Amino acid sequence: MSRERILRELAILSEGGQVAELVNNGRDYVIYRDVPTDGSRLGLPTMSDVIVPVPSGYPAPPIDLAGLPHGSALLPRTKGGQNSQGIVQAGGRTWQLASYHPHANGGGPPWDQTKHGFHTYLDHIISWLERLA
Amino acid sequence: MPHDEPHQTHDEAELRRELGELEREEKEIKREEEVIKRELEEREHQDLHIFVNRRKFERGDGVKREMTGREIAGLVGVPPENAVVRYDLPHDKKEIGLDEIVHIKNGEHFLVTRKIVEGGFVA
Repeated sequence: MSRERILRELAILSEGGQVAELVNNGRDYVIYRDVPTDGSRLGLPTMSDVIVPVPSGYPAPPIDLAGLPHGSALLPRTKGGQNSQGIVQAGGRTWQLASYHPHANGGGPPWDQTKHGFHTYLDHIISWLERLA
Repeated sequence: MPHDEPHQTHDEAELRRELGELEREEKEIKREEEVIKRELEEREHQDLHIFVNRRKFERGDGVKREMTGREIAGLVGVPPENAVVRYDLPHDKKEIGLDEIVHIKNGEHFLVTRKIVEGGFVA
């Protein structure tokens, strides 16, 4: 069951102090709280919440995309941030998804559902927010 | 005053006895401290772990007392040529060189990021 698997993956991050939650607004999303960014270099926020859609049929298809709160000053500085992949409402906020595909030529390894999950996807989110333009 | 001499001798003997007791107690405390110290070191050796990108890694994963930046990057599978390793502390995000040796503190946090991050573009 993908929901149980996702909760197990998020519990791994919880042990390391990373708050992340599974939310649903008709579709499932994972929201990572207070992810570190390289914003201080640019006078921008040093942390941000990040949303990631749970792909239909997970874990067979790769996790893809990442989004920031709508209007975030970080968004235009992120790779793929100027190529909106849609606006979503979830967890009581509006989010904008960016064109970031770490498991599909975005810089990460090919998707392996036996190794990867929402716990490892945080690696790619941290890298994404660390390489601001 | 001669009649005080037996008192002095008695007091001195009593003080010597008390001193001997204190020395024995001190030795016992030191011995117990050594035992506790050894137990703590042993426990820390067994429990040694770090967090990389908020995930826990233990001895079985390759965590050691001393690690290079390269080895820390390897825990999260980032090839060294593509990795940037940093401390993950609110006051310290200092970069760690790939061949720099870090003396691991138990429970220490690190961030490993990729140098190459690509986004999609409007077709």
